[in-house]
Amino acid sequence: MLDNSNHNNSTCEIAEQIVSYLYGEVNTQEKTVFETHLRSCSTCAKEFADISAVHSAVIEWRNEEFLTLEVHSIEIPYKKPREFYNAKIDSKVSRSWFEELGRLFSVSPALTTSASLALFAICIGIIFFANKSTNNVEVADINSKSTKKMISSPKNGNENFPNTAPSDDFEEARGEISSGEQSKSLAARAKNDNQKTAPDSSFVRKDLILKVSNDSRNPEKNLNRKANSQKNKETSFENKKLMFAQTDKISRLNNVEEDEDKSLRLAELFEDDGAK
Amino acid sequence: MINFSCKVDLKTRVMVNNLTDEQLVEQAVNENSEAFGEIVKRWERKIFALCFGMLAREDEARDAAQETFISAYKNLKNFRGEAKVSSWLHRIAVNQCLTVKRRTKTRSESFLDDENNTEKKVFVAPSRLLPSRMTEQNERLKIIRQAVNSLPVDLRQIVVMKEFEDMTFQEISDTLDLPLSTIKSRLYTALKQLRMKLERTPMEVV
Repeated sequence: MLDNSNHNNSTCEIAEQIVSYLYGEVNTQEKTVFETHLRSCSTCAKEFADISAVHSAVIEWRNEEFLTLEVHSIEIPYKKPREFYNAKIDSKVSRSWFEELGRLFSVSPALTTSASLALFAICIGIIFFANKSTNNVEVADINSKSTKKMISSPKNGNENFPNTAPSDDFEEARGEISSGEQSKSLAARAKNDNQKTAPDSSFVRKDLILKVSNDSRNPEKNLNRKANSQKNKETSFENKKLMFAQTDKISRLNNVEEDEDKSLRLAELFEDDGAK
Repeated sequence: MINFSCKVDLKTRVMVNNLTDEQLVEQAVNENSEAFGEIVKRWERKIFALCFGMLAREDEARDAAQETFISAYKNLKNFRGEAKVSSWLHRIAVNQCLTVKRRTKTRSESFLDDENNTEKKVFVAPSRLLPSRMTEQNERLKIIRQAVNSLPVDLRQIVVMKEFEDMTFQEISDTLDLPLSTIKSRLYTALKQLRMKLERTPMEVV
């Protein structure tokens, strides 16, 4: 409440009362009190008059310049949000992977060209490595088989297993393969020898026959194999010597046994004659 | 109003009219452009008044009002609902006006700096007035406009909200998130400063 006695102490309160009264935002009681105060206080009355004059000036400016203006419709460019919204809807529509790929590459030609170049480079790389790996595999296959046999054959010979001896002959035959005719004859020889040997080596024979037939078809590949066969030859000759030495020993022993048998028989005859 | 390319049925329009500002923003966030159109319809006049009071130029005020709504539309998802929509729009509008003023200052095309050029005056004087009377009136309005524009921003926006937008003290308090007493005292201070500025001019205020 406004009071004349404490006028200076309630400046803030007066200010609030003045603007509230000026803009008509006071209730009836507050209005009556403030009007009573203005009648009794010249300072507040003068203050209110000054403020009211300024307010009127601002209202005049507003009425003259602003109220005559038409408020134009504010246009908001909804295009971008709408386009974004439509794009969202479009993206929700299910598409095949081929269409999606097409859309992806249709964004920029640089992307398309770079992708095609990368694909081309990958294809060339795959072809190159595939060729390289197949050559390596073939050579490695031949080497591994021949070395396996080379390792196994002398063992068998030394341990006096005559049944396995023909396998050395196979190796010899394999080593000597250099032409179609030779290979055929060797294959036939291998067949005949294998018939006498153990049944375990039958699959080796088939494999060999197949290999021989393949080699006869590809004479160019035999060049590499010749080098391997030369090495095999040296080892096989040594094995052969051992084998022949063993067979000679056996034949000599057989001859000795036969001679002994004959001498025994003659002795028996002599004994019989003496007894008689 | 905003011209929508799609036809909006009557039911949607009625529904939108019954919603509060906050509900409309929520609808607009969920990509209902009609809801944002209703927000523009409700606030375009007041925002334009605020911009005009702040900038004192019709063309700049129109641009600022438009930019305010565009900015609001773009930042709909950033509206957290903690403040009122009116406060949010007013804050955007005031910031937009300050940006425009800064831009015009840098370009040295400020209306206040170019007051002598009468061709650039944007207000339209009532046709009922005589030319001599119009000149007097124009001079008078120019002084008032200058005085209002020279006020600090925090005081000026309260004067504009009160005089141009016809907002109540409570509405201004809610919009600016300031106590009611602060709003009243600031308005009082603003009017006092205006009085002092107008007293310096040779022309009588009232």
